[in-house]
Amino acid sequence: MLIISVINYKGGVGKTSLTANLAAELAFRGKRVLLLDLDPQTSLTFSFITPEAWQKQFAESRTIKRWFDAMAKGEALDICSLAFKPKRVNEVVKGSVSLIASHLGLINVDLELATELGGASMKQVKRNYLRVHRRLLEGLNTIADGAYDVILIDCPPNFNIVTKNAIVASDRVLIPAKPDYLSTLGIDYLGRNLDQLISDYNEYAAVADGDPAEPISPSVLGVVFNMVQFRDDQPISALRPYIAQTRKLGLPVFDAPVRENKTLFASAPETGLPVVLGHHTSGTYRRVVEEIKVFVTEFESRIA
Amino acid sequence: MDESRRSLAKLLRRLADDLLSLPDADYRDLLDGRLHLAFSRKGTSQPRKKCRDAIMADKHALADIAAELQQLSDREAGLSLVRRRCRTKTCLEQIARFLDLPVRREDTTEALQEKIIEATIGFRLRSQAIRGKTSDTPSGQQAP
Repeated sequence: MLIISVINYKGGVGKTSLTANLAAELAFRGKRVLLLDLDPQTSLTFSFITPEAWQKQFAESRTIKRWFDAMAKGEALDICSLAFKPKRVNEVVKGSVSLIASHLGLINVDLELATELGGASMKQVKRNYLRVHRRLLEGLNTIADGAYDVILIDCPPNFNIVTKNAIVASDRVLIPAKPDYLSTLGIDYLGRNLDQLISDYNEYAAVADGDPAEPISPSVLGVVFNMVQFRDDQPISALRPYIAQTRKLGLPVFDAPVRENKTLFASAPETGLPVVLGHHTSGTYRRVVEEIKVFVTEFESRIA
Repeated sequence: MDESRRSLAKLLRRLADDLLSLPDADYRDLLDGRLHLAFSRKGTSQPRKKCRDAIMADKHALADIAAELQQLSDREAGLSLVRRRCRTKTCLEQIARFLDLPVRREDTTEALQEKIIEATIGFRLRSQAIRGKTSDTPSGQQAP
């Protein structure tokens, strides 16, 4: 079971849409995928269920916020009990897509976790740091081996404690980015914070007494350029330099960029069925779907 | 008649050379009818610059300049190199195209210089600054 965080420091790069399509196509190919929506915007959740259904069936007791709240109070709550299979997408896949919903109030969890940090001595500070940052990892460790092939965590565009929990729990990090100036700067911000988190965590884990923690080493699976404008079957000239520069900086970059298409992507979440699983007759739409499939194939080869 | 034939052959050879040195993107645009080939008579007031431009048409020379720029870790040193090795707008456009940078007709010499510097040196400096790393090499010297 591989755990992958999907994150970029910069918002608006199509992260959630990419995560939904990746999960759907993996499930179509027979994989059992668990999606964990850690973004308080709840966009991934609303890509599979309606806000009304979320309000009636999940908001109160079946979201990741509920799990963090329970852990903070020392209550027992099985993280697996929060997962459900959205109907529409699971009607057309060979594998399965399960989802743990997010909550608009998840942003407050960060503040609550922050109050658990600190301590009277350095020893206590380090112990609390590990306890707070390992919370999600320990929750995901309770999932039975083989229950899922892949867990994709949709992270918010920040590096707060909830996001750090996702990174600590992850084997790999997938970075969607737009090939533009600010998005590529976001990749560098993320790289810096990843290095810092791994360094701090492992330093504390190494000196932790009583309950030693395993060091972490989540590595960058790759940068996937998303929402790319094409002309003549290649990204337009204004975008190509940013793709080339990211490669030159030594980051692994997916060969297959994903094309922008507002007509297709704008309304897909409303249907509960990601673009990649839709039936499209237009050549343009079919090409978009083909490109997502090429990206997923490359994704599978990179995690193999 | 012989003179005319020689002139025509010379013209066609020149056309063939230009086509071979054309960047892939421009060649595609040419085939698609978005770009056109045109013959024009240029003035001869700046023979040295014209000579340099002829050199620039050689992809190897363009690759050399690009490689030199990519070894630098200082924008000023890069700018100085560009100004020294490439004195005309045409030459700057050729380097920009070689580096696969977007070139617009309204780009000034300064804008082209800036694009070239950012694409070869600036992007590394930005990344290092955000990641909290600095180049140990003194200004203008080669990066490790």
